[in-house]
Amino acid sequence: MQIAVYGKGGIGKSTMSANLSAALAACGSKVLQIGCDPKHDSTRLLHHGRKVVTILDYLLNTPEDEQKLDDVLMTGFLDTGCVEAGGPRPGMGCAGRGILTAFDFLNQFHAMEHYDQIVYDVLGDVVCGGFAVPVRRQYANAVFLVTSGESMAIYAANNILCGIKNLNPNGSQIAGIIYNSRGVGDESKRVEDFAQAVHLPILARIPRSSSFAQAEKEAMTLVEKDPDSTEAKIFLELAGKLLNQPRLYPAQPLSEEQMELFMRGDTPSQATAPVQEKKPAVVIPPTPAAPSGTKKRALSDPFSRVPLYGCAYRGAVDLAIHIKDAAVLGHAPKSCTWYAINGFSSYARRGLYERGILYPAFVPRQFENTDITVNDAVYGGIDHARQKALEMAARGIRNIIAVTACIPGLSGDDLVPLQKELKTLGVNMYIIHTDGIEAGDYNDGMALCYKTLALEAVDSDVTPEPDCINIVYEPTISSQTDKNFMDLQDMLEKMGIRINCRFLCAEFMENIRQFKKAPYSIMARYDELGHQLQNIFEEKYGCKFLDGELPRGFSETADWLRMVGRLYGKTAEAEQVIAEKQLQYRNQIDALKPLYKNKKVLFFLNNKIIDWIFELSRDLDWNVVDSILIGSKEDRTMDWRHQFSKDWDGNLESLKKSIAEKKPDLIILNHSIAQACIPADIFTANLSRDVGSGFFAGTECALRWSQLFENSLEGRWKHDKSIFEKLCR
Amino acid sequence: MTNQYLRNSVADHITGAISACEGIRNNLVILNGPIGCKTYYTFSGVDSVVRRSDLWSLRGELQLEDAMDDHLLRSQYCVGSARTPATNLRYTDYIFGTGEQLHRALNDFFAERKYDLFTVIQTPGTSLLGEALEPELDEISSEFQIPHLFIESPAFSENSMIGYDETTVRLMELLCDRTSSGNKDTATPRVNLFGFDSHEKFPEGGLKEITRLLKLCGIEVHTAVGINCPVSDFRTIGEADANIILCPERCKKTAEYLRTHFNAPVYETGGMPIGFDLTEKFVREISELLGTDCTAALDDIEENRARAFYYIAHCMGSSGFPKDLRYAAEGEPSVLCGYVDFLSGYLGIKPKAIHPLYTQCHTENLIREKLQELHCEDALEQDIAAVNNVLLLAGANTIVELNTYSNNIFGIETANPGSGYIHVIPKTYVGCQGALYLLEQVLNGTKLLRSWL
Repeated sequence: MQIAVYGKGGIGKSTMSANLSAALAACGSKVLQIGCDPKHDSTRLLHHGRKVVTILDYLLNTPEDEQKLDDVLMTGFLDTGCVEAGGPRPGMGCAGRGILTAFDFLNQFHAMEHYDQIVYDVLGDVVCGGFAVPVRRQYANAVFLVTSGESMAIYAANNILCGIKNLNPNGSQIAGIIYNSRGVGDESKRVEDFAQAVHLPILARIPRSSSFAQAEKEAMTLVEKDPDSTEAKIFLELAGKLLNQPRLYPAQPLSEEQMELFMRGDTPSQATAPVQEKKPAVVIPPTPAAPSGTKKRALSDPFSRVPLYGCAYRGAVDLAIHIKDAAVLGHAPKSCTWYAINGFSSYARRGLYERGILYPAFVPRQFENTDITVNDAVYGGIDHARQKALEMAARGIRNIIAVTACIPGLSGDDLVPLQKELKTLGVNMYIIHTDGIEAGDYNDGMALCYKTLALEAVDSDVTPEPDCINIVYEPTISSQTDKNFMDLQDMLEKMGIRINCRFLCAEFMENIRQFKKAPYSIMARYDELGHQLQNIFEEKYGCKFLDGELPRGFSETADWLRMVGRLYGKTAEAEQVIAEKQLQYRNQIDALKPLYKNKKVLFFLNNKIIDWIFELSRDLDWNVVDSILIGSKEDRTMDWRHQFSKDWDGNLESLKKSIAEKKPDLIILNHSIAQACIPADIFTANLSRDVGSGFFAGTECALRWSQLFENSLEGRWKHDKSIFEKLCR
Repeated sequence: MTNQYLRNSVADHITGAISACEGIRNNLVILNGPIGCKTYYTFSGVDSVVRRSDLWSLRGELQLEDAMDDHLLRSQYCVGSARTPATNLRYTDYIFGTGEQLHRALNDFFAERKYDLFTVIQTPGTSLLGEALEPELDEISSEFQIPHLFIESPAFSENSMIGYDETTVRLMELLCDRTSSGNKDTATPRVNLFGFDSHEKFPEGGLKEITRLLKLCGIEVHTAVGINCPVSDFRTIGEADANIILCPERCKKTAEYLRTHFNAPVYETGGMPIGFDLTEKFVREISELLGTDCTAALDDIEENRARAFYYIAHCMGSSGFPKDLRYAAEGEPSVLCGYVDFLSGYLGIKPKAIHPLYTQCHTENLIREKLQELHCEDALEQDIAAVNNVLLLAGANTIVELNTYSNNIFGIETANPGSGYIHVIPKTYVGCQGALYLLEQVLNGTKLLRSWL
């Protein structure tokens, strides 16, 4: 039998457990007592106060291939096995996870199999999943509640019953109550009333007695010290009951209201606290899935919960690696790092393979991870992070961007003291707390990294210098970023203006510090975060920004360049560049026009910064049959979440209707997912991919799209569907 | 300076667990965690093995049987990618429990598609909660009549080999019929293969080649664990006449389990048969174990050796590969052993840097002994990040990394992640076909490297 002893902290569980174990051993059973309290004093009376090595301390300090059960298993009174799970330092790590880890260790060595009776002594309350481990079905099959007549002890006992009922709503797992008297008022009656209210027997009544204290002074159980005492006999009798297969009862806790009545001395009704509602939010279909084609939808709406778009840790890391002379320290398990590395390195791999271009920014040489282990999760992983950071400092690294993932967030690691310590060594550490899913999604992680560096890394004492400019918030994972940057650089250089800082795209920390050197900055793009970043630079550092984002299309780019010329006193230079490009643009338009003759075009676009596409449409004389514009022009937050909204379904309906009525040849859209409702014989051009900026952003797209019309071949491969269905199993 | 980036880029435990589970056909492998945790796994390794369940239809035109439809594909669990869905947890689920959302997700999947098995894998974050999800999962299992596996702890920073190994054992405990034993139906001996992983480079081509060679020896493959294996085959693992372990790193506990639970002999090859000599050793030993005739397989090896000889002699002349040509390789020790045996022992090229990964699996002695045998032990643990002018056998991450600061590297992709090249013909580095494919790349690589000197 496996017995769990639960009760309020300080109620005497360890004394009860140890005496019960001793009594079971005295009755001839082979007993193992497992202390599940981080303070690890559960088995003290059995092994007479010897020094204990807790399982968690042992796992922390012993290499895996050297671990042995015997190193943590002590033998006590009458060969009783004594094990203490242990726990992290108070306030650190996760004690619940520690209990799980300790049980994994015991299972690995089949520790329980060598004993007739297992006694679990569990911390005062069912506080989390970890501490509930012993009452799960596979462990304890008999639970004792230790209580006195004090209010808090009875509250705790009832709460434990709630926990057991939630874990095992239909089972009978409770052996009964052990009433440990404190000698307070009419506590006997109160315990009896409680037992009656929750339909449990009082299996043992332990009188208040100094004999326990005397035995404890000698680090012994009373059963060992004075087996003939009245108190010891109670435990021996209890052991006898246990060995004779005691009746087990279901957990029937009192509801909150009933407890309130009970504590006031009223008699609660018989109804008990409800099991925490296990409402399947869905009605489960009576039969398994229907075959494809006549699919039956589950009643829950699978679109109902907007998913987080990626992972905040990954977003922050993806941005942090763009600082060329900073080291990135990931404080995360290997899972997160493996995921992050393969995420950003995919741009490097594809760059080399698809374009023959090496992008060093995506192959950072200084990216390390703390590789958080189970131990770090249990005890906290600060020491590990500190060690890595100091190693980086010793290698001469002066800027560290520390990005923390879910696990340190859950176990409460705080890197701020380490940040202060590094400062004394001349090392700047910027902490990006992407802890837990509380930090949000990929974009939120990026935002956190952008903002942290904007607020902490820029030197506010730098004075502006002429003829330089910053570019802020370029897309870091777009195949167009480099081309756009080079085009921009080319235009500005022709006007005698150099780029001071790319915040944040393949840039050095020194240039970020010198951000204020440039009298003006350009926003590469705008969205909610873009505005927030601009606000930070304007409000904290008094920076000035050009109006609008990087321009697209001829007119927009020409206007933008004139503005730059005015601000930098270079109007003539600007006009010279514009004149040169205008000639090129006209030639391109003339060449493209015939390719779109008699073609019907439909727009399905987010209504933001799309003037350039309308200009292109006018210049090429497109026959635009419909324009479905989503959201308002002011709304710059149309994003991922929109595709999980009701409006989105309405937008898709409009698209389907327009396709049916207008029969377009080309649909220009900026939502990949909308392609699902476009028939395959209609060509689509997706603006969410590979659209550049500058004078020729539109004409370059139009040239690419025109090639869609040149091929009407279908391919016989589609006829092989049935072969695939037949053979590929 | 040791390049930390390279040391970090080794797959983790949860990747191994996912791989082992996805090696079973029609198994819904779902991560109980936020969508962020699924995003990587969902896009990795999809081109390694052809699976019908990886297909989906967005426009209706090519609606394939069993393909995931748009409704589920776009759902909160898949968010546009069919593989390895997640339950899409939020922060509040971490506080109040994940059971309800897990239940909802499974119901939605089972209402849409039929599965033979489902596996719930806790992400590192949810594993910290220590929730008792077993009762919930038991209920769902009995309701839909689908067995399930619950992986409660992803073991954080352990490596993928260990994750794969432990999960394979869990799958055998759950699914295998331990009462079945021996091949009673046919005279042809049958074997189970252990060690393939669908996240690996070319598992399909590898299986095809091993199957071909065994067939030439008069041996059939009963179950290839880890590579699109149906539950029904997995259940009858005990019916095979022998269990062949092809990857010691990935199968340590698996081998122990097979020894203690089944009667069939367990044959550990020490690694995949890479190169002609190890392939010959492989077919001889397996044939001997099962009492079959391997003459046809040996003839096949001989024929391929002759082909290889022609190309080496034709391209390199009678003196063979240039004596100053070097190569570097990284990978699990047992695989490195095969590459070193082929490139150094057979082709006579000296290694410059050999970088074992997954050393937590304690198989480094395999590569150490192989290098000692060839008097090349100085190459072991040389900093692979510092090499130049070499053939480099590695995953694309390392190949790109070295290309950023070396000016003469020829990369041979032996591991995932790859560069993005799509392989339609099933290729392999094992057996005779693998030896020829490796040789083809070494010859071309040598030509390119030398042209720049």
